[in-house]
Amino acid sequence: MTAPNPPFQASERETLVAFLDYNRAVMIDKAGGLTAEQLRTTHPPSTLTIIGLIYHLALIEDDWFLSDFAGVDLTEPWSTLDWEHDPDAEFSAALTIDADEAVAAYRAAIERSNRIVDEADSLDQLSVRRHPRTGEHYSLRWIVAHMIEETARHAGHADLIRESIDGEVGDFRANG
Amino acid sequence: MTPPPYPPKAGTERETLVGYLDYYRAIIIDKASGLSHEQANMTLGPSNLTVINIVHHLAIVEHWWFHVFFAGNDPLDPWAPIWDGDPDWEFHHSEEFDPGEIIRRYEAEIARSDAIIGVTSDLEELSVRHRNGEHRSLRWILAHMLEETARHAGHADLIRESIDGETGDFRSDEG
Repeated sequence: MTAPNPPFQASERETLVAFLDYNRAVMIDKAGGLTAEQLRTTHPPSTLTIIGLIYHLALIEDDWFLSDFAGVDLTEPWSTLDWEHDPDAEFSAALTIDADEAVAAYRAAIERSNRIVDEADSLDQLSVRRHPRTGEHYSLRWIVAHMIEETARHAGHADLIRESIDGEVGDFRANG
Repeated sequence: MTPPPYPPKAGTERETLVGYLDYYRAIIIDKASGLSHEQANMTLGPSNLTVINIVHHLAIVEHWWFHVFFAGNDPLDPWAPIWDGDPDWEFHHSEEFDPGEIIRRYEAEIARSDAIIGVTSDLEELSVRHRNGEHRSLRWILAHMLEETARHAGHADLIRESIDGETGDFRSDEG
């Protein structure tokens, strides 16, 4: 898959969402053309895997946009993961489910997130839920910017893991 | 190093973008700190990236996007001589330098970028230079620098972990 480059002269909302969409597409592309076994391959000493990163980002999308911003309680599959016994439960779960299912979960979460952003009046709109310690609300702007940096950083992890699997580097190379 | 403040939870566009960019610049410097010359130049094969050539690369990228492309200036030393030569100069030559010197170059470029951002009152202001006739807003450049710096922080995460096991942000100071 590919993604358009973010527009060079656009509004704040268009620009930020386009950069987030670009990095989401990079993440999905990093999983493209790999077998289930390759998707579960680590690049030691790190224990990260490409499919684990994708499932983690699916959770993080729902956690920030659906739960924190929109105030909706998370349902399956997230609600049944046991973080008390495994703080990395989503990374672990990604290794046991079908890889296509993990990617589908990420795509579905992205769709939910984008709908929430589209429906918001402005990026100044504040989250329903608050920071657990400080009680502060988050602006939608903060959440979108946070998702750009978090997704891009994980794309950086995926870059090195993918290169170690089959030598592929850069964005959307398999498509020419 | 002391972790920088996280961007305000409900700040303006400028506070948020610059705040996140600053946070990631600090992560990059932190990932390169406390390493010997040999460690700073270690790769996690097959990638040829090192923690220090990432810092060197980001120094050049800051110089290019803010000083040259946005503000329209000519490239300055020490980057000017490399501009017309090897496009991957920093990836091939970082080992010749003291890592501390490369970190200082990055800090100097960050200060130069911040001065340009600081005197530009509107993030919609367009770059002096263009590519294929298209000028880019300062907003685009800031968002791009955030994603690029964060992505390289992801590279630095795995390389640093392979050097001394360190993971996460600003951990060495947390005891």
